[in-house]
Amino acid sequence: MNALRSLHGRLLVALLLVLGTLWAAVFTQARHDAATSAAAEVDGRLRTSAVQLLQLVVLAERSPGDAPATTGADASSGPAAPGDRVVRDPATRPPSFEIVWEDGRSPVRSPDFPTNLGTTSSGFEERSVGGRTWRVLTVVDRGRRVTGRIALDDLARGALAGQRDREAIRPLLWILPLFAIAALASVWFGLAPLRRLERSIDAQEPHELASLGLDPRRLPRELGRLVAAIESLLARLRDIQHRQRAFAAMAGHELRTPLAGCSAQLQLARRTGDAAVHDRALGKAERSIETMARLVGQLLVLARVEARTGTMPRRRVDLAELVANVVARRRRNATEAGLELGLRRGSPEAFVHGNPTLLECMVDNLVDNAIKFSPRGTAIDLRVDVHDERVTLRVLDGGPGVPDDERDRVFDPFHRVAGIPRQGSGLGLPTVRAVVADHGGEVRLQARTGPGTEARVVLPAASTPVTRSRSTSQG
Amino acid sequence: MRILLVEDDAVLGDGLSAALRLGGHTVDWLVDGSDAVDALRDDGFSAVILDLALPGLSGLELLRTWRRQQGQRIPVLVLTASGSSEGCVAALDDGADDYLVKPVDLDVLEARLRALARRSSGHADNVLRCGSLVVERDGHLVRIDGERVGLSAYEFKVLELLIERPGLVVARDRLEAHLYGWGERPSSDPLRVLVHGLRRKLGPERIETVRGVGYRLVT
Repeated sequence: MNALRSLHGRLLVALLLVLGTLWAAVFTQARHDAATSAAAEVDGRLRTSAVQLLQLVVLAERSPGDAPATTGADASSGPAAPGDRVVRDPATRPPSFEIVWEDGRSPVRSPDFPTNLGTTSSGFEERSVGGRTWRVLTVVDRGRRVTGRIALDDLARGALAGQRDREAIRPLLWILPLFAIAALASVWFGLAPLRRLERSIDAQEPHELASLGLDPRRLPRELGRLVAAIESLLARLRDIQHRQRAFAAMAGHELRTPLAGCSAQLQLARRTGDAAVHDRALGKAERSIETMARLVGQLLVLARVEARTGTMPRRRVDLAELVANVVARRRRNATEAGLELGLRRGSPEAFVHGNPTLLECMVDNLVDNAIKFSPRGTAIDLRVDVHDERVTLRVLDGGPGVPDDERDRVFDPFHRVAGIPRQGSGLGLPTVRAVVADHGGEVRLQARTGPGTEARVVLPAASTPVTRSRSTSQG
Repeated sequence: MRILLVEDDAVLGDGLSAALRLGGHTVDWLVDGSDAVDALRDDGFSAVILDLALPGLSGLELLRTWRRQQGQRIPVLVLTASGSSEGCVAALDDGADDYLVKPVDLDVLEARLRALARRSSGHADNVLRCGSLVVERDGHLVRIDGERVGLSAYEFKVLELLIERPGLVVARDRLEAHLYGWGERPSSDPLRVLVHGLRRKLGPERIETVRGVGYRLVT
């Protein structure tokens, strides 16, 4: 039913069905009325003729010399010839009549009055004679002892009814196409705003999502709501597109700085004749390359988390064990930086539901961050606890801390805290936030007792269902 | 040259300052924009290398502060990660004299710095003259009547500063800053030693001591 897949089609079909039914009802009613009125007219004619007939009889009896002829003309028409009856319009043919006296005089009949009618009682009756049906009106005048019968056959009646019928339905017939056209036109006109909206949306360029440019006040209410919803979606899409482009541009630029550092150190290495300077320069160049590799890796992680393609499998992961692995791997970095790295588990296991690679990346970023910002001689503590169906990971460092107003902004890509020289890719904390959000958790930086910062990650424990939290700012 | 480097990236800053020092320049390195605001008041710098993306005060804001509020005329070369024309136009219009897009070629960087310093001291090229004394900045060469004279790196620095303004007194502080920047001064008084060495190599009448102030190259 292809018509029903189109709004225009649906409306048109509904409208035509309603109008059609209405029309059919009116049509039927009109025909019925026509038939009724035709029958009434027939009866009226019979009655009129009966009255006239009896009056004629009265008149004739008053003038006895003018005996009515047994054959001869009908009272209301000219001389009858055998062929005339057929030619004359049956609808307007006058009824046949018969007059019978009680005193035995010979009855008077019109030529076409049916014989063998049988006896009829006064009033209207239907009789079938010789294959035709007659409507007979019998009038008895007791005073003058005369019975008159007027009859009209079905041909005549039929012709009359047919005429009435045609008169009734003629207007109805050309109303039908008019209805159809009117229905079409009103559906078309009524849905015009919808078509305008469709054209507006069609005109959108996917790369440059502009506003639809429709004035909501000039739209029908229902479309107004639809347009508002679409505009809101477009605005969010624009925002996301914009942020993605800005992010990509920023990431590109951010890569240039470690590239520049690497390049400068390598040029230095070439220029110097001093072996110590040479080696130191190459070492720093390597550090730059590590930074770049980290940045690229984190960009890829972020891209995967953002894409949410679901290709990263999830299972029950023991976060405590994961953290222990990271600690073991990073112990050397920490020692080289003059830092102590320790892990304390509140419970032997801390199961969460998630992707082990992403989670490990998250922990690694937090530890890396702590190592970068902790001065020599301090300690980095990691604690994993399970409480109230939540798993909490805490990373405590003894570094310079983060000012209150920057605690949220440090999670923005490439953010630098004032006064601290840039180290690393600038994507460590944003990656942490993205992974945590993807796993339905929360991450926050807060002050701790004493100098330093506590990074606190809260994730739902494995038995609780996970819903991804909508991170409103990361986009 | 005495150069101020304002760069927040540890590796890049280290690379640039080490390479420039290797080239015989004195480099003072700052990592935060807000620290650099008053750095130029010590007006011994020949040129500034300024990274546009800085924590604290941004590179552009720093430029504006220097140019508009302090009226500093020292040449500034801007380092930027973005090659976009808007960024470069903004930097140049806000008072930068030149810009380079990271990563930079060190030779190009040095040559541009020399060009900037040259312009600001009003010299046409990298060759400074005073009588029979000729100093070539880019090659660190000194000649008297065409004959090469060998100078140590620090001796060259002192001579360079003196020959930039021949006949004018250069204050002791200025000379020392030019040699060491903000770094530690050696405990002995090497400036006297250096001047002594210069007089020995160039001739005693070339450099005149101005008591209590500094030294002067005799024209």
